[in-house]
Amino acid sequence: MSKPIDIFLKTNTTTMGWHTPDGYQVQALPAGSKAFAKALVEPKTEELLAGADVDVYLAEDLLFFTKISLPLQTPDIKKAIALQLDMLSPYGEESLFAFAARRHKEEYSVTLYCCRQSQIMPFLEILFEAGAHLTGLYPASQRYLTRANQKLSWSLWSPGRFGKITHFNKGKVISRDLCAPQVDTDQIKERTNSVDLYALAGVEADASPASSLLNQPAAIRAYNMLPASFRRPDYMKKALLALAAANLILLLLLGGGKGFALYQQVQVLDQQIKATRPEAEQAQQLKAAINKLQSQLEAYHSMGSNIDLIAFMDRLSQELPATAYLEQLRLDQPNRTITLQGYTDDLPDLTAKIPDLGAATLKSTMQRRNKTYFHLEVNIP
Amino acid sequence: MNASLTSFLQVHRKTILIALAALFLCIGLARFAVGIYQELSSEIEAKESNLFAQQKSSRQLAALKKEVALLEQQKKKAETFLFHGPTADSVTSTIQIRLQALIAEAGLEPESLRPLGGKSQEGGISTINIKLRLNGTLDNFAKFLNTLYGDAHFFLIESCTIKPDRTKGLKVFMDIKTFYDTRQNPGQDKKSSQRRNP
Repeated sequence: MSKPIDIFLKTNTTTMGWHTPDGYQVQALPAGSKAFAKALVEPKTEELLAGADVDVYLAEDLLFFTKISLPLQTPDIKKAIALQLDMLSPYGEESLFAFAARRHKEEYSVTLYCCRQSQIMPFLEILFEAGAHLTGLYPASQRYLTRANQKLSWSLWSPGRFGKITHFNKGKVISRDLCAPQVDTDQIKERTNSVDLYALAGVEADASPASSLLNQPAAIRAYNMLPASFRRPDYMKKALLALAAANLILLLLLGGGKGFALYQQVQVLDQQIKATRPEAEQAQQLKAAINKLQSQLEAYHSMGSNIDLIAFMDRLSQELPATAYLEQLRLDQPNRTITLQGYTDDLPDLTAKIPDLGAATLKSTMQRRNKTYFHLEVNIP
Repeated sequence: MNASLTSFLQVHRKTILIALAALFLCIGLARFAVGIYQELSSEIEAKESNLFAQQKSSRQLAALKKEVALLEQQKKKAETFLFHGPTADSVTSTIQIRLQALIAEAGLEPESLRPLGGKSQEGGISTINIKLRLNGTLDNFAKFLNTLYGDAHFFLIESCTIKPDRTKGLKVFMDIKTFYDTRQNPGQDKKSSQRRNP
């Protein structure tokens, strides 16, 4: 972004300044509006101004400055000033004004600049017709406020029938004093407590030349009195607002869309759950019924089973030797054993047959009635 | 620097307060939205797992029905092995009558038939122990055992002692356990033609 061209409107002269690689160039222009218009159509100037951003600075002589206080309850400072403009400004309704407000503990301290509209408008219209893009109409002192001195306390002495000393503190205009043309610089410094005093061309004082400040671009430019009709619409602001609105709408749409998708998913899931619930409940009931039936069947199985005594006696009658007979057969179902007690004439023959009865053990033998009394136990699987 | 900042804060106090309020509002709304999103996400997750479990159960429905039918069949079959009656006394009487019939059918001579009372078991199945003293031949006893094993009701021979007897042939001492269910319909307790193995 190129640096703007500065037009300084003074009581008797007009100058144009702009930045070049070699430094800040200044060109004098005719003071009268007609001569000024004529000067602007010169090829070099016309080429310079066409489409360029132009800041117009008004000499302090063309401006009325005042300092007022407003209560903290003031809802709209600009409106309040506009309502009191007849009293505040000597130009009345013809005023173009700009202000800066500082909040204090008990009030607003407002510094106000006004200029006569009829005096300035012809120049603005000429510049506009010349193709310049007007970006601001400021007091001339604002041009000397640069990045280098914006944090300092300093003063600027402007020439005129009465000199005007504008006091800056940290980038803000604190006050403006009038002084007689022939005043000693030291007295001024002493009276205003100003260490850094700059003087514009035309002021005969022992002060630093203000022209040195022009090499740097203006840092803070308050008090823009440019009428709204000359202001180019702030496309950047509009674009930013549109983008912010678009972002917000997009965000809301995305959020709403996502929320709606989630809501639909919940609905679909609810429907599916509702559709499958009867079958699932039936399955749960069946599982419970299976558990109950299994426990009942386990109870039936725990009743136990009979030992097949007929088959055992059949086998026993086949396996026992002919010389042996039983006196007692006792079945014990819980222990799955059958106890055999009887007599035999031939014990070796009986013991030889024992393995054929299965898991049989000979518990005891004794002699009774000239025979061998045996006690045999058979485990039934 | 501090003075400049203080001055800026003083002049733009309302703007700063409004900006801060808007910022906190945005943060609050964002947190609210995130909270709702997380709540919905967890709800969906829970519903999905619920649906998955329900679908899994639904797929098992046919197999479960089949299993229940099979178990019911087994249970009905098992129930036929029990005696049924409204009270323990009536069942005891029924059992004694049935045993007397089996003994008579086998040709055995009953010396004594003495029930020893009931005892409740798990699953609502109750038991009655009966002491038997019988006289008869080995063939009669084998026939009795055969009819006992093949009876529609289940008689568990817990112990059995067989002794030879000079006059009667055999003396048999038996402890028999039978099972009954007083919860079932007495009408079901009809002698079945179904025979069972020991």
